[in-house]
Amino acid sequence: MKYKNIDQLLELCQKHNLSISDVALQDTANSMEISTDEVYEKMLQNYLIMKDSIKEGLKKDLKSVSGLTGGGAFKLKTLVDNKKNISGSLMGEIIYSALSTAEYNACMGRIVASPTAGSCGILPACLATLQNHYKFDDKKVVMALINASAIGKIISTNATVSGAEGGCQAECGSASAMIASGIIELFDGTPKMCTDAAAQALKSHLGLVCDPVAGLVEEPCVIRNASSATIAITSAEITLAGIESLIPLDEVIEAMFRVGNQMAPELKETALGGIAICKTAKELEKKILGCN
Amino acid sequence: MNIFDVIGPVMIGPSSSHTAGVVKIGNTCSKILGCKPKIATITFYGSFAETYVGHGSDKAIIAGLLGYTPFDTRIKTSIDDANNLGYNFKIETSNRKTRHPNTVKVVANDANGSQMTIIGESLGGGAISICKINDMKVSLNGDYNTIILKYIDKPGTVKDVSAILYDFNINIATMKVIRISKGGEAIMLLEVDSSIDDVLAKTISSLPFVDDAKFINLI
Ligand code: SF4
Repeated sequence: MKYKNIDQLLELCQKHNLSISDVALQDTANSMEISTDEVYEKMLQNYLIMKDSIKEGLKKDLKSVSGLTGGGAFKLKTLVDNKKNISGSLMGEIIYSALSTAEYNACMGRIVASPTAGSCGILPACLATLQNHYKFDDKKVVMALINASAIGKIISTNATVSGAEGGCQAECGSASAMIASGIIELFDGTPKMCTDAAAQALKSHLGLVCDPVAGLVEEPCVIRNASSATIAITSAEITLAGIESLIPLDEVIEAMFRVGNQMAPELKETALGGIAICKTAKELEKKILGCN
Repeated sequence: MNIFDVIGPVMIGPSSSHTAGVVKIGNTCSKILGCKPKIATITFYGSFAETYVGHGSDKAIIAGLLGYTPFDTRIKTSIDDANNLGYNFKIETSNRKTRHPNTVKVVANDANGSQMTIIGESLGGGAISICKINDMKVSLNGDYNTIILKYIDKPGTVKDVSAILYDFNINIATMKVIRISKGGEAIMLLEVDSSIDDVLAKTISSLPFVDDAKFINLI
């Protein structure tokens, strides 16, 4: 059950008539020398912590150490609860949940890096919200998470999921691609559709730079978690409608890696480019670092 | 790599390198010292020196020295916890260039009261490397019990050490020999799968060619 790229993963799925998560579950059990039940149980624990991070991040008075972020999720939830937001309850919940976990992370809360701490809000927001709205049981959702992790594993071995190496397209872009695939499995799409949705999501992120203000995982990171979560939903929607990705996921991953390598170091987590060097960013930086 | 390296680790934010990794460095330092140090001076370099306040790296290193893990929710309050428990930790920054941008130095007394200097690097994603203990260049990732031997390079040393480990039924996970010059000073790093007890430590320390030995139970 070993796979090195998306092609091989899809081949295994087809040959054994299995879902992506089935293959990943089996492969993980083999390589960690534990049972598939234990793998499942471990992933369930991660999911429970994810859900908890959404809940905790929704507190009204949350403020990060730097004071840059916190409390945003609460504001949007209030709108959504009162049916005053633009995009309806499902999209509203996805957005505020992603903000919530990302803000909670900035406030030194407990999160699951997925795949990194900077992009920790994207997977929980999509999974928990869809579970709420469609009443999926935990088993189904955890398997979708395992599906997403298989895509993430291929991205991190064949390219990178680190902002310092590949820019934000590698962090938030990968997270969005991973969960776009997971969502398709939730809605019973085929393995090929999963990877197509992931390809759409990753394509939508190509070129996104990593430019954290003052070097902190807050601005623009928190907002990017929300927008990347919505891109995952968009990608899943179009895929379930039967729209295929013209470029296969393996090649999109390769392109993402190439673009990351072409990015100037200033645009890769060094806070020397992008919005990190805007006048206001510099003023904020001075204010925060002034309290050293 | 497995899927739990992708979905995980569970950690306290905001940053896997500037928070979670730093807790692990602090935690590993305490294990190397053999105690939670009452007094310690912590120096942040590079990116740590610039952003430690916003990332809570100061809380992280202190939490680690107090023995908290990277997913302990008490990390947020570690500075107050340390003060309340009578610990005295001093945070400093330096603009000296280091090999890795995320470097921290901890100076503290070990369990026997002698001063120790430990340098750690946070490599990203929560992974760390302890790269220096006093004047010994090492490379520890904090995931294994470790034996560090300083000795004089000569044939047969590796054989003698591994024979003892075999006698104690201890499996070697990784082994590295760093030699400064032929026939001169050398360092042997052994990561092992089981815990290292006093008898084993004594037996290895009493080998004639061993100058200095450290036994660190990290897990
Ligand atoms: S901007 Fe950089 S630090 Fe922020 S989420 Fe994106 S990759 Fe991570």
